[in-house]
Amino acid sequence: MIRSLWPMRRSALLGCILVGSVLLTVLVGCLWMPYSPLVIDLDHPLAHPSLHHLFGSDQFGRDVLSRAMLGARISVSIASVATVLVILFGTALGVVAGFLRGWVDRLLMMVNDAMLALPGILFALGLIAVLGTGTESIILALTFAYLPPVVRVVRSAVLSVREREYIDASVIAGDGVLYTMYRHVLPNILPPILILGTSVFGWVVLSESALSFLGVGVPPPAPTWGNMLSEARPYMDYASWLSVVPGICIAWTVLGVNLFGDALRDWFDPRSNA
Amino acid sequence: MSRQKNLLDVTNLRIAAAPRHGEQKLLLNDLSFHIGPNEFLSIVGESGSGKTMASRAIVDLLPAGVIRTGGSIYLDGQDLAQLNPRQMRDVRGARVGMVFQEPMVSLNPALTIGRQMAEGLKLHLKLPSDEIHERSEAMLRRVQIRDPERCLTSFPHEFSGGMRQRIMLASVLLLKPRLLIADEPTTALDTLSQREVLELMVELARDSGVATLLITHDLGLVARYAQRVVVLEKGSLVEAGSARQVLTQPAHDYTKRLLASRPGRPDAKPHPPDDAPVILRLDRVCISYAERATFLRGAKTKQIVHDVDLSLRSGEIVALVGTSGSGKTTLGRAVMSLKELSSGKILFDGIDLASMAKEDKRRYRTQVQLIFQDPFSSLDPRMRVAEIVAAPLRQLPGTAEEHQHRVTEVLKEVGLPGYQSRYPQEMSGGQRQRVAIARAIVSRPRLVVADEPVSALDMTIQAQVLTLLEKLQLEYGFACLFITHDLSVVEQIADRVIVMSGGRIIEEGPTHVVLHQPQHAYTQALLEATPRLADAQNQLHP
Repeated sequence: MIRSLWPMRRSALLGCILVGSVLLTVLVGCLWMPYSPLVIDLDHPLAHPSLHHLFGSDQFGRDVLSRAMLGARISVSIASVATVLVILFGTALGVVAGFLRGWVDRLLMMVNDAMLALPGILFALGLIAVLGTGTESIILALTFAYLPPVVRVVRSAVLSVREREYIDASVIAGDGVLYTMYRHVLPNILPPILILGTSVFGWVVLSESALSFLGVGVPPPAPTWGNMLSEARPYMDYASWLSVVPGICIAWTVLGVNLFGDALRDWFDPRSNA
Repeated sequence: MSRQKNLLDVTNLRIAAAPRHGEQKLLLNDLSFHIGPNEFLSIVGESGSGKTMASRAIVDLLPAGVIRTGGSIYLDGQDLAQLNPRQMRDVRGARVGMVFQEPMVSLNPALTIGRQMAEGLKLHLKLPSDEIHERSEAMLRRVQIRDPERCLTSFPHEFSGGMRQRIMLASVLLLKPRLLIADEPTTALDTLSQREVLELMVELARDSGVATLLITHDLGLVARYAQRVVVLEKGSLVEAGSARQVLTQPAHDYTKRLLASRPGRPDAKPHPPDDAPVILRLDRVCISYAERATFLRGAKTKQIVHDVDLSLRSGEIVALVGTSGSGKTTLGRAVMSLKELSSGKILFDGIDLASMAKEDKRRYRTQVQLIFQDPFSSLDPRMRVAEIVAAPLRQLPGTAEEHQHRVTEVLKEVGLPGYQSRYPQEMSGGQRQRVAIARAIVSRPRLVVADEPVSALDMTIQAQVLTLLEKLQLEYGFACLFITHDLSVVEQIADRVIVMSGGRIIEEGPTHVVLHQPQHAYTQALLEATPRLADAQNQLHP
């Protein structure tokens, strides 16, 4: 028992460190960066990593470290906004569908299942094709893409909570439907929602990178990890740092939030570790 | 008492929770007992007394974090501590069979009954499959399962709790073990199924020469079935001896207390006057549930309650009695308007619930309250006790301070002063039920529906909660519809009894009349099946 706790703590600690370092990078990037990430320096293109350019420079001589830092800011803010929107709308729709049941539930679930049938990234691509590229449309596209699974999960959590007798007790106490949802249903499904939030964050970071890689994400010259990867592709053979750095950033962040989510789950429900 | 003669010999058994933060918590302290071949021994105690731990230690199935720290267990003269895990596996099932409390979870829902019964035979006896089939079928017939052939290809969810427990029993006895351990095998069942299952168990054990260890909290069962009994309190043996002697001449205080807390014999209690106003009237109430719709067939409905007429006077305690599936809980939910009627009327103060004006509905909500069966599910785990108890006050006038004051007062009345800022999960089952009772009476209701409010509690706690309920009823004078399957509880608190079976009322009348001169055969069977201490005199065993 005691022994089995140790590895869990270790992975939780790692998750916190990974997530914390990403957030720290974003914060530091707001105050200071080694170079301006957008300034072109054609005298030093494709410089190897050195003391001047810690992570080297790209084909236009822009500092890769600075671009990765700005990319972190853009990727993390897009992912945060999209995650918050997904969780907010997903929870609202899931709670309404699961708690009210009846035709509301049937209608919502019909639309939801139809959306669920399409892969999220395909759905996002389609939406961007309609809305055009740009930060707002990416956020919107990713929100819609990841809404359906969240609605499903929240709804099923609500279904199990609404059968509990304290819900009946609330009805007997004369509470209205909205009050019961807010006061009794919501607090009891919060843990799974928070854990789901960390997963959604990971998915969104990945998808945003994928979209940017495909060229429909945040338009250049603004760097994101995805479009840095995309731009690095032609130079992969002799300037490997150009693709390695953003790749590691993406993996670092996604691994971090997933470990963090696992730690959160164990914290809410210690039994799941047994 | 030689080691050779006893089937099972447990000596100075000590079990402890693995040390956390340095200290070791002793769960079982120097427990010694023995079981002879063919003997029926019962271990009695309340939850937390360590009785389940003792039984699990025998088959080396202690939960994680619990360890055996001393003592010895001999089965057939063989020290079980010497066995390696592989040999231990041969002991489980083949030599010691176990039946657990929850028939709902101890059968695998994904496998057919036949597959599950075959498992043990394949593992331990290595029989050919047609012989397995034959033996399984014969055993199912022995436990009186109708159509055993079909049962083998059915899944657990198709059977009721009592049926599942019989199937469980069949699959355990199929392996012809020497010892059967039954851990609260009928706690989850109603009185009638409880009796059927236990009677079968005793009969089968006797016929096939199996010794039985029954773990229970119900002294009535001990009186009826056990030859010898061991009483545990907080991990220590307090008394042991023949069932008759322990139950009729208990030596230890704890045993006396346990015996005294069995519900029964009411003191002379002022009856409500017959001309008290009727506050609740049910008029030809029918309730149905929609069954699952299949692909081609639309949803069918299944009628649960048929044409029930019932009235409740102000200040009266009426017990609604029946086995599970008799529709009594559904009826209670309908009174709370948690369940719609398919026809008929429910009148509160002469006003039909279905057509109540908004203002009347609000009044009804504050004046009718419910106490749930399961205090673990009826209290929101994310709210503090004070918030839970205050919930019904939201609909009443008054300032926050006045409400807070009232909550404090009620918590004191139910014996939980100063518990305002606790969370339900920090409290015991009995304390939680007190919170539920506090919530039910905080708005000074005129009618309280109590749905099996004590059946999830230990014997001594049950008695305390019942006494509390009685006291509060006298003080507040609310009418009470008390739903239960336990006739001994009825005897203690009810003025009037209504017996339900199959969704219909089959008998009703004053408590002493119904319980002493039952007219209907079903009521008689129900009474007969209720375990009583007096059974110690006329046991099944010689």
